[in-house]
Amino acid sequence: MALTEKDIVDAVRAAADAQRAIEILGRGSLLRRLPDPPACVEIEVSRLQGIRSYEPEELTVTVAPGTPTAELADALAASGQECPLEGPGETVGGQIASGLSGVRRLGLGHIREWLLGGRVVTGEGVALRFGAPTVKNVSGYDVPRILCGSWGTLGVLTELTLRIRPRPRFQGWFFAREDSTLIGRVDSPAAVVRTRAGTFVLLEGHPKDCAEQAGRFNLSETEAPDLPQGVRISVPPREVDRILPELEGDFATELGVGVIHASPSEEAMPRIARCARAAGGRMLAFGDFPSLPSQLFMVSNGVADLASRVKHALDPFGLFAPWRLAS
Amino acid sequence: MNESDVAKRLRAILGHDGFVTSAYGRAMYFRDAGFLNAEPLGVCLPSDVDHLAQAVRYCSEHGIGMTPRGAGTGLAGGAVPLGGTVVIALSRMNRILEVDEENRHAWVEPGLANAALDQAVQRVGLRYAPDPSSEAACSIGGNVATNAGGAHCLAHGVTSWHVQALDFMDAQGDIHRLGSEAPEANGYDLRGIVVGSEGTFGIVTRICVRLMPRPREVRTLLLAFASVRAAAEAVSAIIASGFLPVALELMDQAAVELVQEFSQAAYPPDAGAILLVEFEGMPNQVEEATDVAVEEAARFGSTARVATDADDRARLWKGRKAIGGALARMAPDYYLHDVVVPRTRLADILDQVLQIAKEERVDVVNVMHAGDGNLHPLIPFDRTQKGTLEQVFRAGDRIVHAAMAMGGVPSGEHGIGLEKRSFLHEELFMDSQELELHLRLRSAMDPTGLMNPGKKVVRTLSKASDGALSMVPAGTWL
Repeated sequence: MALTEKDIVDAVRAAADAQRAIEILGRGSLLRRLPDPPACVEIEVSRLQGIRSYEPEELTVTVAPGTPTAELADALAASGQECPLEGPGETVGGQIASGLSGVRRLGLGHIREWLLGGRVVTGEGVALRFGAPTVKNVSGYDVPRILCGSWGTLGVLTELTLRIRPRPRFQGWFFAREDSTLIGRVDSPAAVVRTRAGTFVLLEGHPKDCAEQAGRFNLSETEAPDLPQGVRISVPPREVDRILPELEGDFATELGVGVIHASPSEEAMPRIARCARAAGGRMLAFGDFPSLPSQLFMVSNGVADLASRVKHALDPFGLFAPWRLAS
Repeated sequence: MNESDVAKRLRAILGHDGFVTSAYGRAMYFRDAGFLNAEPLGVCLPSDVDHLAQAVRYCSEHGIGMTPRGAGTGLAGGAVPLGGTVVIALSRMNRILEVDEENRHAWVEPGLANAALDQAVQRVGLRYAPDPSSEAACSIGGNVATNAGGAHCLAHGVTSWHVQALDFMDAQGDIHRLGSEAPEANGYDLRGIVVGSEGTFGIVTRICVRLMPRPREVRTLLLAFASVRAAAEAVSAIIASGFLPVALELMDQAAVELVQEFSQAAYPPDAGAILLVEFEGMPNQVEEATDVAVEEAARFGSTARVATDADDRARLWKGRKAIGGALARMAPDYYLHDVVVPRTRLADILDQVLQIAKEERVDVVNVMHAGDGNLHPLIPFDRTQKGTLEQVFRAGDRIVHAAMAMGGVPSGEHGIGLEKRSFLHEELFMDSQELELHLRLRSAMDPTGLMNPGKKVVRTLSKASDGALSMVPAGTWL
């Protein structure tokens, strides 16, 4: 169990010497929902925790990757701030490594836009800084972008500097029984989620502005919608209506974004995955489903050469999760 | 293969006026808006992707280096054609291909001007948010190459946030779709690393940009302070108040004096510093944010003026936007840097800039995207005065070092280009392991080494490899 960056450097070098592949593990909340990897060395980073530096007036915070997102959220909230790490991972590192945004993607952008820099240990056991702690930086290549969403295939994140913002004065979910035309009419919603029951809208900002919008569009206050946890489909927003008829059971669609949360039966999954691909997207299934081909891979058609070479730049011996590279 | 064979072949591919070799024609492409310049072998002006691909393939097969160019408004020499490369000018590929109003994105060609895109989507109630100061001329492709920012990127974000996907042409003329209209996709964010790569990986031939709705309400304020330190403290206070402006620009006393003629008397002439603050959004939010900003600033002794309508708002911005023009009245040349420091160090970096300018006996005028800690110290000068260039470059170099020593970075939005390469070789900013990673990434994305050679990330800083590089345009009388 790694406690420091040096422990991680040592572990990577030991794995390289023994020619063993590596799975990087935080709390495992995401990885335990994916198929088990073959025999490998696990480098656990869950004990690499804590807020390393936080200056509210800088609008940045630097944390260790094993820090639970809830703990970071509480620390930021105490200063009236937030960082939208709201995907399915439980730790800051897990959120960044999986690159899955939460339901406020519409209003707050992709999770990768909140990562400024940090530190990473490469496949050669070299500890490096990447990015910078400033909110603007074009001095080097935008390395944070390729690390975010790399699912542990490029290196071990050992420190992360995130951008933060003031928390909105008011935040509330509202409901309308009607369908999806609200997305084009409500002013700057943070999220618009359509389910079988109707449309849920997340409004943020000044309470009077939110009340005015709720009144204008006849929205009633409600709780956040449930997001089914079985699969996460991602398609271009205009393709959402091609996918929904394929789904039985509950779904929650992030309108304007194109993420669909659903819990189809295992039998239906291959067909839905094919539909998602045909629509220019993918389906990520959380579970081990033998009938479903591998859902998550880093090196895909059309960019295989570029992606392989980028992978090689950071992990020349191919130690990190090789099972997650090709479909 | 000699030059006339190259010219013959590229003219056959691109058309007679698609490859320029005349002395006058090539001279138009010696430089960008910065100082450094060099002669290209010739200039390709493709009108479409297919002919561009053929030209790129030809250059690649014959080992001819390629320097992509948007509108040439860059300030760091990124488009300077080193070592006899061929310029690939994208200015003729400037169409808007598709606007998807419902899903709020558009596909555009790289040569399209930033402001032209914004104006075109205005009629459907949308906008393209990134607004570099050169927006009237700079191209979307150039914005992608430098990950351009601008005054309003504090809340709206830099170019990368507004690029959904792009077509990337590698050095062999093959096109790869990077990114996706889908929100999440398998694979690395190669789109993300191409943005800001300054043409050193390949050529971006098509860009899917995100469009945003126009805001319900905009409020612009001018806050005047007795000193820069007071203004800088007010910046921190406004940020800490919980209302994030969409723009927060600081101008020091020298800048305020300089633009007096242009500003239509909007800026108090005796101000030690001014802040231009802009809020956008829903009416109550904007009103409260404005009130709080005025209150917070008043704690630091400021006066406040809130723009009354769109014309008044334009008047408040006019002075800020006139800096370049005003400097041109002061001296024939100016030189500027683009450092970023932690926001809480704003006042410190400005103190140091003024001290450095005094010691190097140069004038300096400071404007800053204060919300981001991104400072533009502008040094007006006359290159025909003997020894001036050296003083100016020395002052600039010291300013960048001062910023890096505070934990800042050499470039926030202009890019490294040609001019700032040396900073990536300084341990103060980037250690050798991090530089090595950058070099590997460059080779990974361009194994040929033919794309924009000598720019941004280079293994060695040999002057010899820069070819006939000059700091003074040919024909300048000294």
